[in-house]
Amino acid sequence: MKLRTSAILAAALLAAGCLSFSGCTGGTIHSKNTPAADGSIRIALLTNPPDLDPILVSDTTSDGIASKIFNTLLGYDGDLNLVPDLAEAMPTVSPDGLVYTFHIRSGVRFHNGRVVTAADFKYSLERLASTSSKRPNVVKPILGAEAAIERGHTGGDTTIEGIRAIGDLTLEIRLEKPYYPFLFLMAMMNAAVVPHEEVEAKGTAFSREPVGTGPFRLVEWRENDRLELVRNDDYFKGAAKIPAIHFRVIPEPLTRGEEYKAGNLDLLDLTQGMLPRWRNSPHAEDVLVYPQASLLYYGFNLKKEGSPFAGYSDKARKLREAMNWAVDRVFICEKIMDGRYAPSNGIIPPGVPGHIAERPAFVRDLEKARALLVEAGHPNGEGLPEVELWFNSQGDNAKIAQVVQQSISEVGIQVSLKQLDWAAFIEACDAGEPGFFRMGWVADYPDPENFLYFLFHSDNHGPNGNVTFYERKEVDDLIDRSYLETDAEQRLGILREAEEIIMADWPWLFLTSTNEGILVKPYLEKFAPTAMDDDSAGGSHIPWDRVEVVPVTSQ
Amino acid sequence: MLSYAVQRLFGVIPVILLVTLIVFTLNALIPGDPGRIRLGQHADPSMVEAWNREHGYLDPFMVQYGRYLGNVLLHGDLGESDVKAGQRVSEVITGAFWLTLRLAIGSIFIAVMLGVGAGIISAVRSRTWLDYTSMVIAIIGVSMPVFWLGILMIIFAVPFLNENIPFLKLPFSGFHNTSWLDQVRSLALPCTALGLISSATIARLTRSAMLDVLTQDYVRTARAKGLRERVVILRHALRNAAIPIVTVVGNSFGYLLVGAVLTESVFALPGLGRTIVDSIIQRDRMVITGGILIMSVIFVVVNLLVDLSYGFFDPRVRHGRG
Repeated sequence: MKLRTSAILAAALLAAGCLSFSGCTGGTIHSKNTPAADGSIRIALLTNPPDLDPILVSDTTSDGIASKIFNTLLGYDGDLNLVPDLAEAMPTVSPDGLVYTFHIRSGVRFHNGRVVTAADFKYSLERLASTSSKRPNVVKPILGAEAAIERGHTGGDTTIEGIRAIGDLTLEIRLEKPYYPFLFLMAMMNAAVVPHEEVEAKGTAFSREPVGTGPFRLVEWRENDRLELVRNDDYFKGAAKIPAIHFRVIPEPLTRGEEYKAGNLDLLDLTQGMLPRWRNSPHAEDVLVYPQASLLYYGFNLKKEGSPFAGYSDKARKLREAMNWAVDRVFICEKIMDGRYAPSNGIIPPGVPGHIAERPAFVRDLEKARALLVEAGHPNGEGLPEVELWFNSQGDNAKIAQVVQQSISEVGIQVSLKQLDWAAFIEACDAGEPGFFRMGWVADYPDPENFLYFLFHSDNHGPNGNVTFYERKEVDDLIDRSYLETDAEQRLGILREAEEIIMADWPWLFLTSTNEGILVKPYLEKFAPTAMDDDSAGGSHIPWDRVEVVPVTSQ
Repeated sequence: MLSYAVQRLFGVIPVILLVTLIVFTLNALIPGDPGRIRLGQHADPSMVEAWNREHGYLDPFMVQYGRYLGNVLLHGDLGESDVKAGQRVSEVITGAFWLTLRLAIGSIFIAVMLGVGAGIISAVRSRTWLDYTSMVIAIIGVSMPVFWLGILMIIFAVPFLNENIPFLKLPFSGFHNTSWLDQVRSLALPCTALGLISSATIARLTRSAMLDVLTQDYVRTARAKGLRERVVILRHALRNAAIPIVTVVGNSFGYLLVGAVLTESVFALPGLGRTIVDSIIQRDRMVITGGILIMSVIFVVVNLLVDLSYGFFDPRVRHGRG
């Protein structure tokens, strides 16, 4: 052999080629239920969180991570009741429902060691009125907030008249008018307390080097790669049981799965299509599916000119109702969404107070749909123009749209599909361009008002959430009345009445409520997600300071 | 040679101008308001307008373009991300670029070693089982999508290797940079996946170039002089067959530097390709523009290096000598 070197290389090529097909060598399934040696938690993220500054948090990944770094005045217990967090107790409320007085826990320290005061809350809430804030609506009900937001638009002073720090530990917030859900806003991540000196020193970089009061502090963030959180030993509720949380950005579902199987991840959110695979695997017991306070619907633009489906006439309502009865939601939920989604039965989804569990879910009833078309003067869809269904290109949206298209065509209404990417899609929806479109809503807080006000109140046409441009005075009045009602049961009754009126107008093609699916290693204890916990980043309201790693005897 | 290199480097400037102009124009044409994207779906229109004004998006197109170009050329400043507060574009791209560079170097090393080696063997042992086997593997390599090979490696190769060679400790994914050994371990599989795919093209090209050269008179002469076969192949034949191979290797290296997005996604590596694709999905105009600008410069520089290397392999192609 004259060319030994090359021969070795050729052999290496062959070996490498074989290696790449080493499936034939009998790869084994690794099922490891051993936690990390130091007891830390390892969680996969689908994407890099965009921002960790509370005033910029608007996505579930950022929210999940920020919730481990920051605290708010109030939080939730496992049943989604509001409970004090940085507040010492629930606030006192003046009889007119306008003034909320919070007493702040003493001795709470930021990660930089400084003690938290009421002035920090005033500063943190007023930041929400600035131009760079993504959630000015969190402070909008406060007296003088609208003016502060206006001033903020031109770079002016964002001091909010209604927020007063009284001494070091008392915060008084005066509202413009009574607003029942105000306390929910104080439990949102956007209202978390931040140290002004850190924000001022770091500027926009505060979003990448956040300093809070939470059970963990961020020590490293490598963009698109990993975030390392370590325990805050001075945490005011006592140091967390776990020493660290390691987040890794792993976009590819199969890679994430292999990491989980190999015991390199403790928690994994299941992307679409993965649930059946895991349910039929040796890890089936790790699968946890729980309802999320969110829903999916196809909206009708009720102000679309020239559309027979728009408006509030009896005929238009019947046409919309006919489409509702034509759709096969069970097929969508079972076959496309892996049984993760459930057919909708209304606007308020399961897990949110006010949800009516006894109300039957929408089923497919072609006879009823056809009868309604006859009543509307369009038997078998005759005389109706083709309906253009708009949706954004993400996940299984196209598949769902095809099922809806097919279902509706069976009663004679022809549907064409129009797919856009998210940015273009949402811009078109906000502008009222599509007549029929896909949309979803994830609750900011567990209250029916969060669905009814943003999605149906005439204050919110377009970008604020009401993209069907629904407008009915009785509904506006009922929602507005609910803000003044202080009795919780009475208030729920008012909001349910509003829901009934809206449903009778059929502004949506009611589709599904949603569930989350995750994999959790069996050694993770006191990990109990609620309907307000998204599946990414370990949820937003799980008390991670109490989560424990208790090794189990495993294979 | 030097003046040629300087002349070519100056050629980068019109490329930058053209690329930034094209990207800027496309960014302006695609739907999606920057302020709306930054502040979110439910932001008040007046806030969106205020944000756009603050960030110069309400200025005329040529003013925005001129300001960007001025910042890039005069200060080397690629700006700040439109989507992520406090994220400097240059930092994001630099971090991602160094990782991708390591990935590309490792991959091209594997590709050249395997591809050139297999190509030479195939040419020298033409029409033998060795030739046929190498070329069949090369065809498989050319046809196989790199992400699929990557997934196969993660599912089968990593558990198999870690079980049988415990000291390897290959990670499934991610870039672990705690030590140089961890870095090598992190990049071993992605480099192998990318290298195997690229090696297939190089092997086929090397084979055909070598087959051409091996029939030349000077090779016959070298053999007649009594030179050892190894010297004939490596010094006389391979060097003369090198120019097309170097061109392909250079192009492959350029593509690896800018286009390893699938491999980076499968192996969860925060490289340049993934960074730019993510920024396109998020409509992060500043990162898109900065990223594409850097990619163009990389391509121009790699092409320049390839051109300059021709002079090394073939003295007749020395630049600047008439």
